[in-house]
Amino acid sequence: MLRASSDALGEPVELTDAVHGAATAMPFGVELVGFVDAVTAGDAAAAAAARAALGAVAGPAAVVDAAAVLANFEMMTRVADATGAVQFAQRLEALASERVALGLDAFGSAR
Amino acid sequence: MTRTVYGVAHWPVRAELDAAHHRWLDHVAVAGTWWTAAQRVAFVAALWDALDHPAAFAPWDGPPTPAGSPLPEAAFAMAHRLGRGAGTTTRAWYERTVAELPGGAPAFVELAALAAGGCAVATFGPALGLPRPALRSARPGEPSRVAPELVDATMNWVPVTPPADQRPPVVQAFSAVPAEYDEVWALAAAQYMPLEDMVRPDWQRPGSPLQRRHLELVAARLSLVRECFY
Repeated sequence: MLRASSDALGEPVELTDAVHGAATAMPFGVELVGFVDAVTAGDAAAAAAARAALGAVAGPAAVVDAAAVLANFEMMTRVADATGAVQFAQRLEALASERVALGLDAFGSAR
Repeated sequence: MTRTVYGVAHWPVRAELDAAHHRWLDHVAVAGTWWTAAQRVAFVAALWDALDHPAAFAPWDGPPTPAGSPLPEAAFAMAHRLGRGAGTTTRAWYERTVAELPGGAPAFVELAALAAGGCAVATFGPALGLPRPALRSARPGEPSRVAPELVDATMNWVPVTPPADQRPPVVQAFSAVPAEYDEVWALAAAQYMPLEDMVRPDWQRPGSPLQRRHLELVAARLSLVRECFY
């Protein structure tokens, strides 16, 4: 949905760049990726700096909503991996180049 | 007076988000479909302990079940596995766990749903530099043990309500235990977006500065960090 939601705005992104925080054309993209990385690394000082950086460009409500989405996908990754969810073949084909670029097929959770 | 989980803090936590986490904490502390409240609270506590000590044990070799725990060994190990390394699960692990759990696959689904919601509630506050909310005391009561009709699915290991494989796999995943399905999707509605809006690439929460593409970027990066192929 990252690609579809960017396309819907008429501002397509290159998926691999975006996920690596290199899609500078997306407002707050670099800060959002930095926020996820800092929080998941468990480094309190880095997380505080990342919150400040995101808040400075997007405001405090954006920090709250980013934290909520992060929490949601801590949940959704467990939904998928606990229950053995597999992707539809059509979607796997559509993401063939990104799976290679991001190394997804090497994940233990690739089913 | 409205009870809040996060209080009036530096961050403007939306009331619906606070209420969803408040409701989930209450939900854990009552008897479920297959597990008592004491077992459910103990399971989430074990999950949170695994989240707090990610390097203490390998995901497939967790700590021993504490003496006096209300959880059977397989349930305690499941909490550790899903907290510490959900990306390492396999079908063999699922089948072994289900074989060892009283209640079988539906009981597994209930615990998986508690793990999923537990990971969300455990991580939201700390992501904002706020403390994690405390688990609530278990209330008396017995599991209902009421199960809907279930069928095997090809898109999930777990059984689901019919018809199988007509919904996205993550949506049908917890359908075997409707009470847990409802709680997980209530959390998702507050944290991310309502289930019925997920088909809309231009969806944006009223008042939020984040567009759908921003939500998806956070989702994609988190999934990459957690090595979740799905």
